[in-house]
Amino acid sequence: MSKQTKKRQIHSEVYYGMVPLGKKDKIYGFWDIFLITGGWAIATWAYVQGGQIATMIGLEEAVTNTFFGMTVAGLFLCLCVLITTRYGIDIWMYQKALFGYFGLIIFAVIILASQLGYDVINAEVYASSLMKVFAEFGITIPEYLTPYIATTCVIFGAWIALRGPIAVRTATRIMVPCLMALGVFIIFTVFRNFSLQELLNVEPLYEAEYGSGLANYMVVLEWNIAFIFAWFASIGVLSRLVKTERTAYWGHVGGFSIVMASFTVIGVLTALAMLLATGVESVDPTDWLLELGGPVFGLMAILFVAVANVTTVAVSLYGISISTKVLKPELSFSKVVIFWSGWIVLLLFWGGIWDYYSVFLALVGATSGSAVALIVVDFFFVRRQKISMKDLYQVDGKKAYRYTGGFNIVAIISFLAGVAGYLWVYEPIEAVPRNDIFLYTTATGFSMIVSGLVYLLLSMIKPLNDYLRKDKKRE
Amino acid sequence: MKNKQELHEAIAEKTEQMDDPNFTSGPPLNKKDGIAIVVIALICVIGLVWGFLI
Repeated sequence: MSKQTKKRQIHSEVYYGMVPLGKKDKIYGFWDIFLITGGWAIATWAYVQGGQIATMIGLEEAVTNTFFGMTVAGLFLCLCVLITTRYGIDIWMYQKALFGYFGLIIFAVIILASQLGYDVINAEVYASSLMKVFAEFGITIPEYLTPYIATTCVIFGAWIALRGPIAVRTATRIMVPCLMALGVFIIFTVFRNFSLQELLNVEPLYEAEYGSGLANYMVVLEWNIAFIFAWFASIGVLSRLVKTERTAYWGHVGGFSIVMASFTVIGVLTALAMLLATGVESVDPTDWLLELGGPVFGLMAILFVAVANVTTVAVSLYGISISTKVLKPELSFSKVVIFWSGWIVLLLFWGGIWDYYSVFLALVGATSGSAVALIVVDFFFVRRQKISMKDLYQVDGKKAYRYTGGFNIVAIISFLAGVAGYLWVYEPIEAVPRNDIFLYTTATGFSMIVSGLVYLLLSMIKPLNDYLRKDKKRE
Repeated sequence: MKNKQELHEAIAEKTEQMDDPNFTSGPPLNKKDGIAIVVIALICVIGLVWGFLI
């Protein structure tokens, strides 16, 4: 494909990413959006999450916590989808109204940078896959080479992303069937080796971790909620293309919550089976695949994982780079892809994402939870579902969302209050609840209540309401 | 340059349409959806409590 053709495709994507889409531009129905979001959700991050959960609570609790927890989180998160579908815009575009024209850019960099932690997980699982494949053939690769091997996943993913949207879509068509086949294979091998009763009887390794069953259960719920809220950064990429708000909402809830929960539970099942079989705890799905699948099928599954992880990284890098370009169209797409790839590689060599997975989830929970609450309160209560598109895009010099030098101070204060609330109830480094409020709300839930309430109450003060609603006179 | 100009023109046209008080993008969530959201959320909360107690 020629360079000019690729450039035109990417410009076209940005073009469509920037331009609000009207009714005639929308192409997705319910099944389209359900399958696309579901396909995106079933990357190996779901298995790692499941493996993490299995270390803390038993199967019954894991199933209820994951399905019900992820669904209720998705019901709230996907309210943001209504904004992006209605106006045909990315959620980052909307957040200019929330954080201000410059505030949004700083916030976006923080969120997008943290989201890429999930690609670090994928790259590390890819490296683990390849090292196991080599080990099966008698070639032992030293552990210290893991980040170098993982870097190749990022390089291949970036290579696909740089080739433009057609290449990314082709990669998705490879990734989704691979991951679905892997899910089916895992269920088959688990129940071939163990009965449901045996799995139910497994006691998790760290069930005494927090001193009570309730604390363990709520810590896992915290992880599950944070896991769902991480989708916040990707809202709008797809939903702006959906024909109606109803189909967008329920399609996203189905894909991002229910399908994701299903594959996370598969991860739980497999980790418990691994514990039963070997007495060894592992959150790495490649450990399970060899142990449970045997040398031939296990190896095949691992190769599936490696391929799927490359394509997941490609899709993720592409999407985040397009979102970055939507915020700043003058940036070169290639340079943005390379920048974010470099960031993932930096995180890989740091090694902290895998080692401090619960801290990473805490960062996601604290930032995304507060942001989602602010978006919902801002759009549904403060602005009563009316925004000025001309001010959002600064057409004809309209700048109602400029606030104070490009920063919405009220939103920033509310956001920081939410983060402070998070840290007040939960210690993210040791992953320890700090007080009993956590046991009823989780930390992400509490941060959402704090940030949402602070913003709502401040917006009720007349001078602050006037500050926030400079777009009101456009109605 | 032509792309940027086209982009600005397209944005201006679309934002003009969308800021019109009569603009509708399509039907929003209806009352049944609202009830379904509340009911499912309640089921989830009950399910979470039940999941811990079993």
